[in-house]
Amino acid sequence: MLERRQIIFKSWLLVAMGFFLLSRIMNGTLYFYINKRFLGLTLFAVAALLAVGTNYYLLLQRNARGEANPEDGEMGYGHTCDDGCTGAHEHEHTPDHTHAHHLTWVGALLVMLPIALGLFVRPQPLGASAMDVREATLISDVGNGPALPGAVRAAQEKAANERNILEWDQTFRMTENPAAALAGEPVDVTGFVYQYEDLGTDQFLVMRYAVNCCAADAAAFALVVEWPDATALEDDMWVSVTGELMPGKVGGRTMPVVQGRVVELVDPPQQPYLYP
Amino acid sequence: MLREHVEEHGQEHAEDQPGADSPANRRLRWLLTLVVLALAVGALFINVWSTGAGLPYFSRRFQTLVTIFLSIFIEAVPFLIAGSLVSGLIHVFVDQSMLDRYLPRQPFFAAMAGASMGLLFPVCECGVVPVTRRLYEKGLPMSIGVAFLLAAPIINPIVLLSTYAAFGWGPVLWGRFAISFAVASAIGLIFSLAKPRELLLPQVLDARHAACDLHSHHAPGSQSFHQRLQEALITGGDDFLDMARYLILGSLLAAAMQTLTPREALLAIGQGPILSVWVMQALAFVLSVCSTVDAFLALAFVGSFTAGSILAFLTFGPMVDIKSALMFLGVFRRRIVFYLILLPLMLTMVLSIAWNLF
Repeated sequence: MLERRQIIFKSWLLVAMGFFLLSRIMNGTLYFYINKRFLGLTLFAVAALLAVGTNYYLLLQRNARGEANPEDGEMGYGHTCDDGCTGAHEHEHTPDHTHAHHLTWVGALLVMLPIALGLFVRPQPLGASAMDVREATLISDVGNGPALPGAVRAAQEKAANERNILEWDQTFRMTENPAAALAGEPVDVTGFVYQYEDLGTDQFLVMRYAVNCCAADAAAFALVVEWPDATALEDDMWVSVTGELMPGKVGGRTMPVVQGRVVELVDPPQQPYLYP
Repeated sequence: MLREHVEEHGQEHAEDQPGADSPANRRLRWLLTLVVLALAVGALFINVWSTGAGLPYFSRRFQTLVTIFLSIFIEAVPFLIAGSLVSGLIHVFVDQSMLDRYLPRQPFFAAMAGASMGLLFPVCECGVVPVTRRLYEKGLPMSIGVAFLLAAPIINPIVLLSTYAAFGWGPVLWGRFAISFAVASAIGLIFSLAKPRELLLPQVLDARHAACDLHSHHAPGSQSFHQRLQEALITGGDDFLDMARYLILGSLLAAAMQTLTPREALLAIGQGPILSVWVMQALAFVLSVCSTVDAFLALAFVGSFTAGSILAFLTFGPMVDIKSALMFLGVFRRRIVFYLILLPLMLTMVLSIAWNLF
């Protein structure tokens, strides 16, 4: 009887996890967590979890019809042994071993934790609050570090007003004295607002996170925007910024700054992160 | 015969070292969960209280914790279920005689074979744990299993391609694979001196002895292909649920560390040839990023960090990070898990520092 409960329990957990992942795909929040290149893998996980969960249920039905291998014991759950042996040997094992795969309440609660947090905490992409333990990389004229080859290629293939924040960042890195060299280039980007403490009252950062794998490796990229009503904008507001690049000063450093012509509030995009 | 094995190897060690699902280990998992949650929430409360930012700020920080936790978990689930399914297939379709036939027994060559097995089984650090456990249950020598466990997340075709895409053919690419191969083989060789009962959890050991006893008279043809496939799926499901508990705890711990530890402060600590290696190793352990894409992440540190520290990040992180270290607890005894963290840490550290200095 215990085995029957275990099988039902595991079946439900695996199916629930499969549907939880499927729900993230269906409601469009999957990209709050991972790079879109992992969509195929997530679909595979959904299919595998549902198949494995359903298989436990089929096992119960098979046993109910009496089709179990007689060597597998009462429920045909010969795998309880977990050693390739048959039911005839099952009772020779230590209690620890026989129950090696038994799922306890604590174990089940742990497995349910991601599902519960996913369902009861409103899904949100990383925003300004994640900046408490990060720093925005602002491109000045010296010491800007290496560029990301993929983003550089993308930046080079695009017209100036089609580049996103990451591609602008990479363009700055690849350009000598970017503040002067890129002055006058048109900018049209979308991102969320971050009120960085080192900025002036007429400045704000428009930011995006770039994600290689998942939100755990998110790196912040930003453009400084000069806009008279900057103080009216709050952290995490999504804005579209149109303007042009001009040399500006931030914290005593010269860097490219977007002179905002139009700053509009917009809805958050379906894919909040950029992919290098 | 089986009873003797169980009494000799199972109960004896179940007493001195509780198994993965013994009351002691369940208490440990429960305690770890509570400690991690208490630390995360407590630190957030202190942070909110000290800044005077109030409940909305706390809510946003908690939101960040949940997003990072779910991101690590969701990204790892496909790899874990794939590894578990491979484990199920091994359980049903592979027997010890196959391993005996194809794998070398001489410890030195066995360790090197284990370090190269990732080329055949391209798994990351999440998928490799259930596969290794199942292979151990089928009688895999200790040295091969340990070398495979540590090397497979790096020495496999997918990681080779991603490292090439990020760094091209150059010292980082071959340095990453040479260091990983050397470290995994060396640790595999060290563990070839140990006996299985000194390394493995009692239930893994029991299954290993049972397989050893039974494979000679176990009739694989007694079940239809459909039944064997069904058994493989059940084994895979059981393995997934076993390992998912450790993965979830590890993801939670990694998310808590990331939410509360200023990454830039960590990076600001060390720029020298030695400190930079320590910092990048700590970062790799905390970030717990999948080995299939960590090369792109490492690229962001080139120029601001030493070449040796980049290699430390690319070799130590895939071998051991928070989530995989916790998953090791489902295969090995706690003392061995400690060694499996310490040895790769020390060896990659020494080689990376040497890379910087010479």
